[in-house]
Amino acid sequence: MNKDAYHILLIEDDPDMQHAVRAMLPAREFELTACSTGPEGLEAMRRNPPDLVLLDIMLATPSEGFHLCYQIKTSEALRHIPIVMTSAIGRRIGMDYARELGSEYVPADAFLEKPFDARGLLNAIRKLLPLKT
Amino acid sequence: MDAYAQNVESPPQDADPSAIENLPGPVLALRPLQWLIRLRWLLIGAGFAALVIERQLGATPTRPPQVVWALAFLGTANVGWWLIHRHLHKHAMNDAPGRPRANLIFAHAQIALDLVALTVLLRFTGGVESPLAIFYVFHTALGALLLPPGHTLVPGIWAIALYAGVSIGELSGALVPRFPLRVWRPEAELHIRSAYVVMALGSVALGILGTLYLTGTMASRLRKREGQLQDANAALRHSQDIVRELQSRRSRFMQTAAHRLKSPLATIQTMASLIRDDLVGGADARATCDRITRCCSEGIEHVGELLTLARVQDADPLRHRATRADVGAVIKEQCDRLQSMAVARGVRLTGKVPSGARHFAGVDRRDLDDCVGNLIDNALKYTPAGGQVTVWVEYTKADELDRDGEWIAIHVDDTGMGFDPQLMTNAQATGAFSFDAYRRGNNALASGIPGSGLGLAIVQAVVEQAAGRIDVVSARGIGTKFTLKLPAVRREAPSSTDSNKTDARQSQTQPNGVTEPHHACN
Repeated sequence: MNKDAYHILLIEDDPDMQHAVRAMLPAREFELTACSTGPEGLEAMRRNPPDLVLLDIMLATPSEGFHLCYQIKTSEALRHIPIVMTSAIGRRIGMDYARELGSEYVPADAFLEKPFDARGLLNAIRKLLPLKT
Repeated sequence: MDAYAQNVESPPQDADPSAIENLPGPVLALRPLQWLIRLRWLLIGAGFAALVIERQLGATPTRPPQVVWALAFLGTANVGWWLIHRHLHKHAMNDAPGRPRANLIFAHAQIALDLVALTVLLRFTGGVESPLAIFYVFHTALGALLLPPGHTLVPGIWAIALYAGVSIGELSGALVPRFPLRVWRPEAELHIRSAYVVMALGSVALGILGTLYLTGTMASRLRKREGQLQDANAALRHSQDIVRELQSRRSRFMQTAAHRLKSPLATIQTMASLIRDDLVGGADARATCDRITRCCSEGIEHVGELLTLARVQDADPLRHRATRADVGAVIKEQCDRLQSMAVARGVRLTGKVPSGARHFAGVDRRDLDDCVGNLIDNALKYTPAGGQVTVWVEYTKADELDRDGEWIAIHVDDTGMGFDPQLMTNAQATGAFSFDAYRRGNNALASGIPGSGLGLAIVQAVVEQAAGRIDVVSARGIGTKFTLKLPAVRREAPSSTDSNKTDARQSQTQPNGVTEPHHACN
């Protein structure tokens, strides 16, 4: 394991998007762990807390990503981990819907609308990652 | 996605709370009483004005103070009525059931007091000779409009009794002195002429009773019409709610469809950027191209299903009555079409069609192709390798449908993952399955098997239009059995649209067969 690399956890049910994200993140700089479901992702986070989570909104259920985001942001142990939510739905509609889920909703740190390319993904990620000393 | 789409709902159109049609019933019931109070202010004002005019004209003898007192009393009472009305109105606005009894007593009390005040005024403005007697008739009419049918006679009897009291009192000389109206030829002394008094009393009584009858009839008709209007209004509101719900559903559907179409496009663009940015090369680039191609296929398949759903939903439901489809031919054709998919997935697909007799269903052939194709496609998708999908057909007496005639049932059985238990529970609770577009079971979503969520919506739309029904029996991990029940059409029945050549071919190759045994076409 590269100690200087950032550990990114991708929670995405579309294998094509997993493939694309893996290809977009330089291996020398990022170490990617991919999960297809929310429970898998949460378990992976608890086992090995990542530096950042890339979280798709629509997983097994249409709102699983939001619920997972809430779980992470209300967990003392995990709330410091930045989350970038991704979805093909527009940012505004996605956030409106998230708010409708409940007043206790905790928003993600960033929203990345699909489609995105390597530059867009890296920009979103690097803004949120802590500097490695 | 569906949940995301639920976000976008048409905002409810705010109703104007001050509009009459939006007022609660108890408040509406108080409105005539409010008009009566306003009208009384007008009449009191007119009474005072008449007194002033009479004084200006120099009337002798001057009008006694009792008239002023009577008008002042009416005015004071009207303030009381107004306060009571305000209280009742406030109560009615907060309390849906209202206080019909209080309203009734309120109306009775007002009319009774008005009649007493009117009699006092009459006594000091000419008695039986006074033209103010017309107000007895007027109040009787008001009573008929304000009071419920069983109560309208009460003010009428009150009015006749009071007028009779004044008339007889004056005729007998008990009510003295008199205060005749100056313009009324006081020297005529009509009040002591029995014939005049009887005639006046009879006229007022007849006027009151006639008015009661007419207004009672009119009020009854008005109430009936009002009830009809309220019913129509309720039906209209119900229709508006339905239209609003349909608009909302359409909006949700369109947004869901847009998102479902955007998803593969987004994936395609993201993966294309990998090639553009030289992030993949060689074999990886080819694999990425393959992924792009697959996403394109999924998108195209989705668009095709959307078009099919749109075609089915827009088509005239009556088209099924004028056509028929050879069920055996449809099953055979769809099994043949999807056999390669079954082989690729390692699933055994068997279509059992009667070897001889042809069974016709009263449904458009193209639509039945879509239905059977979708059901087989679904079964194959959710059945693991080594599993079995069987399609077969049977006649059924559909007694459970409470309809006459023969029915034809198409069964699609699989040994797949089974339906989401939640969907089954909902169906058992409501007694029917509902396959909304884009709704997929949690286990289907969790399986990662691609699916548009439109296939079963198409099947449902067709079957409902053809006056059939869908039955589903499913057990998680064991399999699912879909049954489409469609009205059977006799072979001899003429058909203008059944021009399927496959049917004709099959008829030639399997002449004079019997329903059993089935001919397997896998």
